[in-house]
Amino acid sequence: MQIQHLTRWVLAVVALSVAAATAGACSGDDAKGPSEGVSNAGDYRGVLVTPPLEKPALTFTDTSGRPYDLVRETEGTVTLLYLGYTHCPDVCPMHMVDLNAVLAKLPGDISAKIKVVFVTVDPERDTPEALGRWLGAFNSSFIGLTPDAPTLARLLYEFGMGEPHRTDLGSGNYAVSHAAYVMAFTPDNLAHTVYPSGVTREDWAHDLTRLVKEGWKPS
Amino acid sequence: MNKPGALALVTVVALVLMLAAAACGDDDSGGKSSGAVQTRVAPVLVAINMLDSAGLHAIDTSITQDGKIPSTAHTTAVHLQAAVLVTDWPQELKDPAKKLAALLGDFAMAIDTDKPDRKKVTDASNKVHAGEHDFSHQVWDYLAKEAGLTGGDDTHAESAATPSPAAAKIQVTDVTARPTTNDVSAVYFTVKNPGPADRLVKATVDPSVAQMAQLHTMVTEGATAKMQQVDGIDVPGGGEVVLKPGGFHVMLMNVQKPLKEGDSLPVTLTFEKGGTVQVIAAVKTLAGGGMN
Repeated sequence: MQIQHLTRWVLAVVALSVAAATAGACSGDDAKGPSEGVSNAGDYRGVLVTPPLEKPALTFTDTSGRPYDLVRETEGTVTLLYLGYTHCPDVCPMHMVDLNAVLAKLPGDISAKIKVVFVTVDPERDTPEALGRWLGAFNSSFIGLTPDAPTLARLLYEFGMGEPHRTDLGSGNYAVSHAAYVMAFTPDNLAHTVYPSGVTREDWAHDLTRLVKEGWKPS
Repeated sequence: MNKPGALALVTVVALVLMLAAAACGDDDSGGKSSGAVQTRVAPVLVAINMLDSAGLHAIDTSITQDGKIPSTAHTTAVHLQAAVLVTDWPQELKDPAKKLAALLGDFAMAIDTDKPDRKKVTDASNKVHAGEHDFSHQVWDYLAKEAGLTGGDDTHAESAATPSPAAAKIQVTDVTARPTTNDVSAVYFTVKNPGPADRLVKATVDPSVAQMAQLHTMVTEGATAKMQQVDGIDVPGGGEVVLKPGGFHVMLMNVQKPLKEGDSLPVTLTFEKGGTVQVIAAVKTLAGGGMN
């Protein structure tokens, strides 16, 4: 089958339709399941991104306060990158819970080659220490990175996420715009697939096993 | 006075006024006299006001969240049990009243030892708390009916923050809250509405649990997702709405004490037409992607 050529502009539409298909998978014969809708590139179940996203060549601060060169530190691994914040009540913890559960189910030789990297888009509240505490509640091996302001702006720009956006919730609380999906970087330092909320653990496990074993190899 | 107590009192006052108003109308049409109505419902009003304002919520919160049994808990449970047993409930409330009395008895017994078993006490306390909410609903439905309030005319019930007969039909199930990893959490549930279209307009929790609760949804724009506060969540007539990870949720902010797996958390939901519904959220880890 041919790889469907998607631009980043239409990615959102695909992501939404996958989410909708996931939600409504049982609603009728016409509704395509998530795997069916995105299976046109070698049976990957994530959402395809063409051209793929590049792993940002940026340096952050990790939860122990040391510099973390993303490209160097994650070399040769499947890196699952998510941009979120710890005061996010819903989607961010959901992805962390899901990824922890998926990794726990994968064979050790597969999960050992996967790194989960969470970059905060809210460095003001998410100090390295606070981020480490939060991530530790899900999985102590998850890597938490805090960007400085220019690094954050560059990161958001590279991923087409625009300016960091804050929504005031009152009494000093605010929400921050964050990534709509988890990006899966293969050892070629490119993310060919992304995973919006609603992707099942089975689909996650399926793709991660393939990405670790073969790298990016659409059939 | 605690908030539920104040609310209950306002409701009592409102219902007594309504009963009086209804009774005046009855006089004209030669129906039942105001005296008869008030005599019949007076003990019910007294008992339910006592139950609603006894502080079972605070007791349950203290036990469930702090692991502390308030010194007044045993007396409260025993007094309430006695009050429930001596009250001459109308026929339709007799069985529910017996059940609540039994729960209160179990709870009193569980804490009346030198070394109370924490799990047993928590379980009994949760049951009493939830049982009182259920019973209170049934009693207020009965009183609303006695007051002549029907599903078609629920404006009074709304202003009194009392579930009208229509509200009784709204069912909220699968109420869960995410354990805290800092001071925010999200509450999810399913609303089933066999009645006409309604709208969830507010969710509140006790300020001792979290200082703010808001209705939120997730909006995805391109590569970005963000949370957004919403004025309300429509509940279609004869349908349901599901609040779940990645979509609608109640966001709790400035959570005062960590919410841990196994804790329970009372939440009050306000519907535009249906009035308020009290539910208890179970704190548990929720995943987004289920296993197909």
